[in-house]
Amino acid sequence: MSEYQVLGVRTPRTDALLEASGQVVYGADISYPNMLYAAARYSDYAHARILSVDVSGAERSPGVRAVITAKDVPVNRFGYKFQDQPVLADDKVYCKQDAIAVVAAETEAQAQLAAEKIRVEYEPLTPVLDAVEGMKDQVLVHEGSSNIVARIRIRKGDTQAGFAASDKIVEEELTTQKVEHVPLEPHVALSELRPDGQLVITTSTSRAFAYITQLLKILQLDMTQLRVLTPAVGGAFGGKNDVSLEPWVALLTLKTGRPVKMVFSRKEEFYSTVRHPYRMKYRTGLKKDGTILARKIEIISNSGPYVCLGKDTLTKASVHAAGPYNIPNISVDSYLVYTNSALGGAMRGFGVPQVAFAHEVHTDTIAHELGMDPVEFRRKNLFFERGEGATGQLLDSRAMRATFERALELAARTERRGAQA
Amino acid sequence: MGYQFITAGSLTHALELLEQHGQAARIVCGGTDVMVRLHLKRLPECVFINIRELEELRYIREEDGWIRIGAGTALGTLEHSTLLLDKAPALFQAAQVFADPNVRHSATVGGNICNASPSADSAPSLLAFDAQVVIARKDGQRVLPIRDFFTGVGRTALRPGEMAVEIRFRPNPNSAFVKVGLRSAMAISVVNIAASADLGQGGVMKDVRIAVGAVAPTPIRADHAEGCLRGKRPDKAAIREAMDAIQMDIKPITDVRASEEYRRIVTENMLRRVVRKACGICENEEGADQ
Amino acid sequence: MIKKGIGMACMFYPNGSTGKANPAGVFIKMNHDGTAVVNVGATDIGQGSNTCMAQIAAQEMGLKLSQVRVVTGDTEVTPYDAGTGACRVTYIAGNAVQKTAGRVKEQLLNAAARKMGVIHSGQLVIEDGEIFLRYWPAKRMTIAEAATYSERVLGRPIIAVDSYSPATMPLDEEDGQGMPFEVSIYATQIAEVEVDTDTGEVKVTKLVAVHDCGNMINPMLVEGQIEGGVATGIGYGLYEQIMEDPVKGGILNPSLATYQIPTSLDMPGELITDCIEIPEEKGPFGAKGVSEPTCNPTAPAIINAIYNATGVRIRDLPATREKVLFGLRELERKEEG
Repeated sequence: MSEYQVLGVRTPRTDALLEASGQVVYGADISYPNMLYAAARYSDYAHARILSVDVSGAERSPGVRAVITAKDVPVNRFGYKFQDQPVLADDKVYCKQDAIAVVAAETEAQAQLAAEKIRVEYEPLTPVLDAVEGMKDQVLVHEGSSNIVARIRIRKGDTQAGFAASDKIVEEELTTQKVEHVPLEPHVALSELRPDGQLVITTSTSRAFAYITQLLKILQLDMTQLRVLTPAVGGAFGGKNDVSLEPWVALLTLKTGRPVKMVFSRKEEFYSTVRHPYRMKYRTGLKKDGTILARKIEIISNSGPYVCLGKDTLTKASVHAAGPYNIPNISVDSYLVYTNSALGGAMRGFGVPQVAFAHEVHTDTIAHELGMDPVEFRRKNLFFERGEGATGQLLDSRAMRATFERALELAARTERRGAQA
Repeated sequence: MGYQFITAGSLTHALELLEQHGQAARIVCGGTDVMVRLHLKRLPECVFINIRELEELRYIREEDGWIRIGAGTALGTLEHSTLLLDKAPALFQAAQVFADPNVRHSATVGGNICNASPSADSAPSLLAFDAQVVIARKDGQRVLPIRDFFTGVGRTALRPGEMAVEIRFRPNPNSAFVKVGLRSAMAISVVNIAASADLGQGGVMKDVRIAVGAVAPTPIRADHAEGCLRGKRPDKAAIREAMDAIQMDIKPITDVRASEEYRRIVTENMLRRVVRKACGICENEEGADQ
Repeated sequence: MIKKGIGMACMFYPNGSTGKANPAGVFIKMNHDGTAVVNVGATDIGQGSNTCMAQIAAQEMGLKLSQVRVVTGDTEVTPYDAGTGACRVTYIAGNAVQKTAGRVKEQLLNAAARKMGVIHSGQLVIEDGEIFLRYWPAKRMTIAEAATYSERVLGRPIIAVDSYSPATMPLDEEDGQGMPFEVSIYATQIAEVEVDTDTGEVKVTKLVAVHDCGNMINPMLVEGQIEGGVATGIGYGLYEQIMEDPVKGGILNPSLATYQIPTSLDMPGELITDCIEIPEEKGPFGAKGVSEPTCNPTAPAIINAIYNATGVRIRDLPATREKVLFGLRELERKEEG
């Protein structure tokens, strides 16, 4: 084949050889002369008022060049739609991953040792960890505002009428767990001040422009004063969509004038963001022949202490929650709930793996209750002849049938075939 | 003082170093436990005595009716030993499912038992073989039944200045090992179990030894279960009785990997599986017998 | 005892963010020697998008892959991009790359027309690194010659800029109705499992994953993405869960020793991936993005297969060995009772 035919060809990645021979430069591989290392002091409680922070022990610790706390942050709240997340905890800690102070020292070990010497006095508060519990607002995560921080509502057709016309109604409750992205490469960020005064942050991220937008606000700089670079990124899966250690290294560089580097340990990586756990209630109204008439869904998402991308995630989940099925009457009510548990963020599938689990298990439950073959039940209701989603949008869903029939054909090509699906 | 690292040039040298540094000494060979704990900062300051270079501790051989394994032998070596495959399948099978190939080729038998994890995968097989641990010090050696070797979580009967240099046991082809972890590789056992049976006329178990791990502070022998099987054929009734009895042998806990209840049920089920496997009853027959 | 079962799951998922502008900007400069530098805002996060962008650019401009360099991830140099997420890079950034590369081609053909004395550049064809007259193929020049001529003789260095953002509408606040996405992708996965009734262990013996991504830009990358998604889905369905202290909060298993990700031995014994290639008319060379939701159908397909094998219905993920075993015992008790 001609070298000029490059489309549709099984071309090895342009960086394949470099990857395989270990020559790709990731953030952790980068060092600058005269560089300092940062380490954070995290909260001891999931929910507590901070009474005092004493960094003097850390400042006296060997090799320490700077310690930053909340008062060093120009604008100490960030977030894409809701600016509710502190760069460094000030009056309260909202979860265990909240950092209270960050130290820069000559070596990584010195920084870590110094971070342990920071003394924090707390007034422990009752943490609210479960989203359903959180909805009761008995303990408020953010004082003065309900824990139900966002609601999403979808109404297509008339579900009440749909259920009234149904021969059978199937109800089911399904829940999913928190999971971590576990990229091979943990978060890493470096910052340096260029001779012309520009601050350059090199960070492992999927979204350089979303980061710089946030960082400009936090640091009160403009696009000529700040530049974000991404080195090779060793996997993200959505976990590198949210600012975390970048403001810390930046502020330490601004304070010391020296380059600063920080690499998350695997433990810190687990404490970055997680996939939101959902509790989902499904109620489906059906005709005897298996036609779906109505579906009502309730989703409760545990956001952790901040909104982060929780609302966008929940919106995408809500739009897809009814599944790729033609259903004339759909209602979805989704609630995003603040808690003091691990912070939810973007993760591969963005809310849809949760609802895909729910709608597909629910589909099989329905087929079982109706005494139908799940394959035939799907054939009857899937986006085959047409595809009209929960938002009323008509979709070009020709590929739905094609993938379905092809998958059945490939699955049948084996002697070890089990019972009929 | 930090950490010191000394590579021993010979066993004699290693024993001298052990004597010299006493309590502060810590032997490192494969390093698969020590390195992890070092990174997690869970290791007190110590003097590492590296015995990885000691060829004299790496062997598997049969002599005088014993199978002798040098303490520095990698589990990956056990996994390829036809001697073990033929004469001590329980240990061979344990080596096959130990961690993953990378770890197996570094981790050693000696390290696995001296680390004294309750879930150590080589321990149940060695217990079922009634193995002996040869322990050396600068001025002599002693031999301890492995049953007396484990004294608690992470604790052994080794005294300062001593090291395990050899594990030896009588071969038994009628032995087997079964492991239940939470995934297919790199799994810390939730239950691991080994059986070694002395079969007589008509398939009667003249003697049988069963050992189980991860269900008590140390890997243990299942005395009650053994009692139910001794002198009997491994039939459904006898095994059922042993399955009930093993509950008296074990003291599992609930942790992040599994609940006490799960460990209890699985121990029973794996007891059935391992006894049948040791007696050469294949899996299909097992299914038919249920 | 080993029980066998089979289960399936379907999904749909969009390319792009929900109901809002999420553009990709692209800037290409062609050098006098006919090589090109493509500046894309979207970062390659290890999935291989730089290769994919280079393929689209090279094909559109008639270059070899080795003649294209892709620059990403520099907020000072590259145009704005909404980010590598929402399964949007191949479709949205890919569209921007193709559009921009089309503009480069236009400039090349104009320069070549001037040099060859052709009145209308529409009479020219660009193919395999060369530009020639459609009806007199012997009359030809290389792309490098055209680029040099444009830059050094006509005084017009070849530079092009363009962008793409999908046509979407925000959702209505009250009833959530609207057109939040431009295109969607579809998939069906079928899982076969073996359940060990002594331990609750679930082995995925076979998994069929058939996905839709329009035309494939790079079948090897597509396959890799599906296989990776299946691994993510197996972890979600059977192994992974963050455990938190229910009273004090805080993660109890923040390490790879206690948080179980699947290993290569936990992947399906037989993993069959396939793609349905229905060209997407709005996509770059008919392509759509495939990667992000490849994990979505895996967990439910496995859970449905466990039900088919045993009658145990798992309604809370993951289906750990413990949950499956307890489910089996619950069923036994019901049968006996």
